[in-house]
Amino acid sequence: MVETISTMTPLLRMNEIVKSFPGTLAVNKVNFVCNKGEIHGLIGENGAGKSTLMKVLAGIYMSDRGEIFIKGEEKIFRNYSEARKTGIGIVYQELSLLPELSVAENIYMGIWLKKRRLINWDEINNRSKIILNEIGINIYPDELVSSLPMALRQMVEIAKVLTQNPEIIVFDEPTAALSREEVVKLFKILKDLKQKGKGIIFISHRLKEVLEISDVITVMKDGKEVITENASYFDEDKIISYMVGRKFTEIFPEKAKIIKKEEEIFSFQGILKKYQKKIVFSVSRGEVLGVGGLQGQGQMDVLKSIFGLGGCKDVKIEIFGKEIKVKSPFQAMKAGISLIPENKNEEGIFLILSILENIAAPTIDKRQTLGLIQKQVENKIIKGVVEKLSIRITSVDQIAQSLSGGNLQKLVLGKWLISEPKVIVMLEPTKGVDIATKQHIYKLIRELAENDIAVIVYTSDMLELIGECDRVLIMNHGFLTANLKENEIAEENIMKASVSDINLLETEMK
Amino acid sequence: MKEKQQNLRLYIPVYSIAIAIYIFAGIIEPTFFTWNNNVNLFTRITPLIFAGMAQTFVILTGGIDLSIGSIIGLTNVLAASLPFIDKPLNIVMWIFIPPLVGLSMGLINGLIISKGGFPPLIVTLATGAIFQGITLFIMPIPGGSVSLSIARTVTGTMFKIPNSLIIFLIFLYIFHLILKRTEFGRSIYAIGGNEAIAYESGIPCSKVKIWVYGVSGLLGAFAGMFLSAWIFSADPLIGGPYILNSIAVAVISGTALSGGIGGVTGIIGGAYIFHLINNILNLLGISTFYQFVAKGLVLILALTISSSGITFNIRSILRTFFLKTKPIEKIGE
Repeated sequence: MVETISTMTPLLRMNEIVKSFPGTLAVNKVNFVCNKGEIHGLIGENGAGKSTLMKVLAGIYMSDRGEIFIKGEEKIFRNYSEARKTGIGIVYQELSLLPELSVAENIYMGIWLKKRRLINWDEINNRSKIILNEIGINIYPDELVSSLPMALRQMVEIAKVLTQNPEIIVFDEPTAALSREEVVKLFKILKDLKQKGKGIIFISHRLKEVLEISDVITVMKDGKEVITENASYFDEDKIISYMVGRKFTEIFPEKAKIIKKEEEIFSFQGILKKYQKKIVFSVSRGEVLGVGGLQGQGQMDVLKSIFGLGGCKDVKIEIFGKEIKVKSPFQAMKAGISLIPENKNEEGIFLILSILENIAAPTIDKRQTLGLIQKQVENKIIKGVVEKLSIRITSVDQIAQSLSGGNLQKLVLGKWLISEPKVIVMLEPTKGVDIATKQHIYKLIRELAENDIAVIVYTSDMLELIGECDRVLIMNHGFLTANLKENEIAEENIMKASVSDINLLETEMK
Repeated sequence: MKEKQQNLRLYIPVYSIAIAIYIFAGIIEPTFFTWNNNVNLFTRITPLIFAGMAQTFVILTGGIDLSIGSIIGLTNVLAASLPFIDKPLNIVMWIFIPPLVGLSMGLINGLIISKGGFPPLIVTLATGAIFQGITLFIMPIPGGSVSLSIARTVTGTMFKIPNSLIIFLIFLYIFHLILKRTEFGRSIYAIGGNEAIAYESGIPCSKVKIWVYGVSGLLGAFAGMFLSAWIFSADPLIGGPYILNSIAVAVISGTALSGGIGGVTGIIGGAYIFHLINNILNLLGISTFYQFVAKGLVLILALTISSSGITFNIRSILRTFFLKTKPIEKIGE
C-alpha cells in the first residue's frame, strides 16, 4: 500500500520534522504522510511527541528543522491563523470554547458573517444550525455553551473546526470525554468526512478506537516515529509493544481475592436532588467499587456529595460503622474522605504553584508546630510520595504547570495520599493519560484497597470497570440500575444497565 | 440556557432594584415623582452613565481603568478652558478637542497595557496620576467657562423631554450595538472569556485591547464635557469619585469583573441605584459619615442580589406567578 500511494501527491507530507524544547527533544526527525480520504491514527504514550508534531503542523510551534508540504507545495506556518487558511483544522483535546457565549458565536468566532458592516446573527445562527445538523446533533445555536454537557461541547468544537472547511483535520483525543454511544456518533462523522476526501489525523489513548476507525496507524515513541502501517497489520498487543517497547501481558493488577461482604467500611445514603431518587450503597473491606453508566446520569452528584459538595440531600455517611456529618469539603477531609476531581487542571491543581506546595496543601496543618510549618519534615514526606508514584520531575520546586498530563494526574493522587484518607473517591482517574501511567494508577488503586481504604472509582472507560473494579454500580437517570459482581461485570451487562428503560428498577442496593 | 435568558438573568435584578429604590424614594418624599425632579435626575446620572459605559468596556475584556477619573477631570478642565467663549469656534473646539484628548489618553493606556504586557490596574493607576497632574497644571483651582449655548443645549429640555435623556439613550444604543453587532464588540467578549482562545480564533487581541481603552477614554471625555456644560465651569478634582463609582455601576449593572459577561443595557439601572441611594440618604437627613456606611451596605446588598443565585429565583418566581409553568431547575454538573 505504501508503494502505491507514493506515486500520487499526498495531501500532507511532513518531512524530517525536528522540534526541541529546552532540555528535551520533543520531535526527532519525524516523517508523516496523510492522504486524501484517509483516517490516520497517531498513537504514542504521553510525551511521545504526538501533540507537539500536530502543533508544528498547526503553526502553534515553529519546527527547528524539516518541511511541511500541503498537496506537494511547501508551506511555512507562523501561527494557527495561517495554517487554518491553508486548510488545517484542529479539534483540541482541551476544549477551545468560551462557555459564556452562545454555540453559534463560538462556531463562527473570528469569522463573523456581516451584513452592512454589522454582524448578521440570523445568518450565523442559521448556518450553525445547518452545520450542527450535518454532524447529527440537535441543539439550539443560541444555547450557551456553559449549559451543554461535555460530550455536546466536543461536538460543537468539531462544528467550529468544520466551518473553516479544512482539508486536513486533526482530532486530538476527541473521545476522552465521550461515552461509547457518543464515540459511535463521532465515528460516523469521521467516516463522512473521509468520504468527502478529507485527510483525518486521529489521536487517542484508547487503542481499540484507533484500531476500529483508522486506515493507517503511526506509532510514536520518545519523539520518534516507530512504525507506520495499515491498521489491519496491528492488534492491541502489537501497538502496545511498539508504544512502550516492551510487552504488556496484564494492564490491570489482580483483583481482590477475598472480600468480606459483611465488613462494610463505608456506606452512603442520600436523596439525589435532581431526580428525587434515594441512593444507597456501601463499600466492603478490600473492595474497589466502580461507578459507571452513560455520562450525566447523576453519578457526579452522588459522588461529589460524599465530599460535601451538594447534589444530594439527607446525606448519611458511615465510615467504619461510625456516622459522620459531611456538609463541606473541609468536614469531609477531617473525616478522612478524599475526592480526586475529574478536571485536574481546574479543580485538582494549583498550576502556578510548585510541586511541593501542591502536594502539601491539603495536609499543611498536620506538620506544624506552634503555627509554623516544619519544612524539613514536609520535604521528606513529599519526596517520598514523588518517589512512590514515580512522578518524573527535576525538583520538587518545579512549577506544576510544566508537568505533562500523566504526571499531573499522579501529582493529584499524591496530594491526597499523604493525607492518609479512609475513603477515596476518584472521578475519571485515568482520563487522558498514557498506558504506562494508567497501569501505575491501577496498581495504586489496588494497593489502596488492600490497605483497607474504601475506593470508589467513577469512570466512563468500560475496560476500567471490567478490569479494575470488584463491584460495579451503573447509574441511569438517577437510578442505580445494576449492581454487578465478579463474573457479571461484563460489557453486555454494563451496556444493558446503562441504556435500558428504567421503570421498575430497585434503587436500593447493597 | 440561551443567550436571551442570560441577558434577562443579568438585567432583571438591576432594574427591579432600581425601581424598588425609586418607589421607596417617592414614598418618603412625594415630590420625588414630579417631572421636574425626574428631569433633574436624568441630568445628574448622565456623567455616571458615561463613566459606567467606559468602565464596562474595559471590564468586559477582563481589565480595569483607574485613570477614568483623571480623564474625566482633564477633559472637564479642557472643555471649560477653551478660548473664544460664545463664538462658534468655541463650540467647534468644545465638540472636538476634549474627545480627541480623551481618546488619545485612552489609547496611551491601551498601548502600554497591550504592548508592554503590564497589568491594567497598575498602568491606569500610574497614567491616572500623570493625567491628574496635567489637569492641575492647567487649572489648579475650579474655574473656567463654556459657551452659554452649549450649556443650554446639553442641560435643556425639548418638548419637556430632557436633552440629557436623549443624549445618553442615543449613546447607550450606539455602544450597545457596538458590543452586540460589531466584530470589535464580539472580540471584546471573546478576549474577556479567554484571551488565548480568542487569539487562536484569529482575533487581533492586542489591537482590540488598545481600542477598548481608547473607547473608555472617549466615553470618559463625554462625561467630562457633559459635566463642564452642566456646572458651567470646571473643577480639576471632579473626576475622583468616578473611579470607584464607575466600577460599582458596571458591576451592579451585570458585568462580571472577570470579563466576558455583561453589557451596557443595565447601566441606566445601575446608575439610578447608585444615585438614588445618595438621594434617599440626603432626604432622610442622615449625616455624611453614616451615608458612606449606608451606601456601602446597600451596594453589597445590590451585588448579592445581582449575582446569579437569587436572580434565578426571581425569574422562577415570575414564571410561577405569571406563566404558571414549572420553574426551571438549575442543573448542576
